[in-house]
Amino acid sequence: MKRQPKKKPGEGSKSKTSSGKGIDIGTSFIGCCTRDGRHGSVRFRYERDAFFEIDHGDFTKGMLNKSNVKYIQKGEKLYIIGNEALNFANMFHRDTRRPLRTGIISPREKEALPMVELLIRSVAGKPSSQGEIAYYSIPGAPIDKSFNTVYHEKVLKGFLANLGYLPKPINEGLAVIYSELNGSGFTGMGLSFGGGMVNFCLALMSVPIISFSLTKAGDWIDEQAAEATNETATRVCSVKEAGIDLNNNYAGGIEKALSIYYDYLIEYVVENIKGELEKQERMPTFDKPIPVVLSGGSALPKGFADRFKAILKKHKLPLEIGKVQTASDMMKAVSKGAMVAALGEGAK
Amino acid sequence: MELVARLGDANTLRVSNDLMISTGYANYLCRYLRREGLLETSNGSYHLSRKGAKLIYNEEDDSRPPITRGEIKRIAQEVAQEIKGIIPKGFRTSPSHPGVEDEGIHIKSDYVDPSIFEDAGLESNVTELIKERIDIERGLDETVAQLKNIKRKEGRKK
Repeated sequence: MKRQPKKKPGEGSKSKTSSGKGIDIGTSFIGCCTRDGRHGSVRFRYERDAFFEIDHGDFTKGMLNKSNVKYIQKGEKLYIIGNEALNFANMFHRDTRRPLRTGIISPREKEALPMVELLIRSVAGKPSSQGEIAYYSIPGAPIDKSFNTVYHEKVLKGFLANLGYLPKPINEGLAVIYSELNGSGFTGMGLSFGGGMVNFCLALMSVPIISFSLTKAGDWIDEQAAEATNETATRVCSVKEAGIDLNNNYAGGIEKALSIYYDYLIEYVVENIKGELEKQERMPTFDKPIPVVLSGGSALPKGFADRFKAILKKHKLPLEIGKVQTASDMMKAVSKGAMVAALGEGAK
Repeated sequence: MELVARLGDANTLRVSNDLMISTGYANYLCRYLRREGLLETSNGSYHLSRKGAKLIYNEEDDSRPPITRGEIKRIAQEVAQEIKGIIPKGFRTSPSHPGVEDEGIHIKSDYVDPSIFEDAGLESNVTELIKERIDIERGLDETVAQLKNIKRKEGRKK
């Protein structure tokens, strides 16, 4: 995959695009993939799903605009959005606020709904034509916490319909399979390690067989490591995203705590996959070893895939596992897969 | 407590493994929570006491989304669908006043609460400054065509 020269933000958004968009509505990032004309050129717009409230002075907005800092103003309140929210939070030794929590619209944030709607509108833009298909990611049913995702799904559907799209939900794990497993005929396991959830899907020839989500993921790692090191979760998240290497034997500090909790998370995910597979009474027959794709921002650290493979080997699954690979673009896999679904349905 | 709630019951070894703490510390924690009346023990395993369950599940309830609106919407839709099935098409109520003809009953079952779209008043520069990149995805058209093919075959089978 080659990157083309970066255009100015917003530039080219009116150019001719093929019908169908894929939107990844995640706890940490919201992203949208659109085919930009022909020959496989794909436009990816994304933003961090976090905000930080600051005092609203007369000159504040002007300063933020000059510094290209994204903000949202609601009445007398001013919210910094995106990566800069993390910087501000770190400066004040506080945590950012998040419109989504454990994969769904946060019940604790009053501001969540308008904030999520604005972010979706900003990444997805208007439909190229009324009723353009937009597949949006939704988590699988959580198996380790008791809540359902119906409210979340319907609210997002309402937002997109209001923008003029024909919204259709797609399971996050299945989207990863659509994005990465065309080589195996869309058969295999897709895993998305996000901020609020880990999503799993096993599909046979593009048909989902098992899918579920777990509510321990990147944010959980940050919170646990923060507690262990007496830091804020936002600070831990910044250290994590600056790049940690899970192959390193860290002596201590935030990196060590992160490494420990990464191990725990992977064990937890593999144990649950094994448990769910063993529960299945009528499992289809797979004629080849099943490929596994890892994706998502929480699977970005160097050495993650190796640890996953080692732990997977330790817990013998009831299915023969083939190649374990990482997505070609960890952050984009879900929205790209959703776009493939939309394009597959759009042009007849 | 969350771990014990999730597992149903757990011995100190399991608690120490899952929380990645020493068995001595796990033992101390469990005993402390038992002294506080939050856990109970039987056959060497700990489980939530009534007080503990109340604490955990009340907290769970608070952390649920303020879904009264969503739940009401869902229930309203379900009820509307159900009533729709019961009331025959063209059903009319008897006139409430002699000489005044009542209108037939129309049941709307696709209710969307307009108040969820509240962002009209938000001012922002996010759209202009949003991160964007353009990548070349080789094989995208083939991937889409392959998915279409599989779906078409599936459709035929059905």
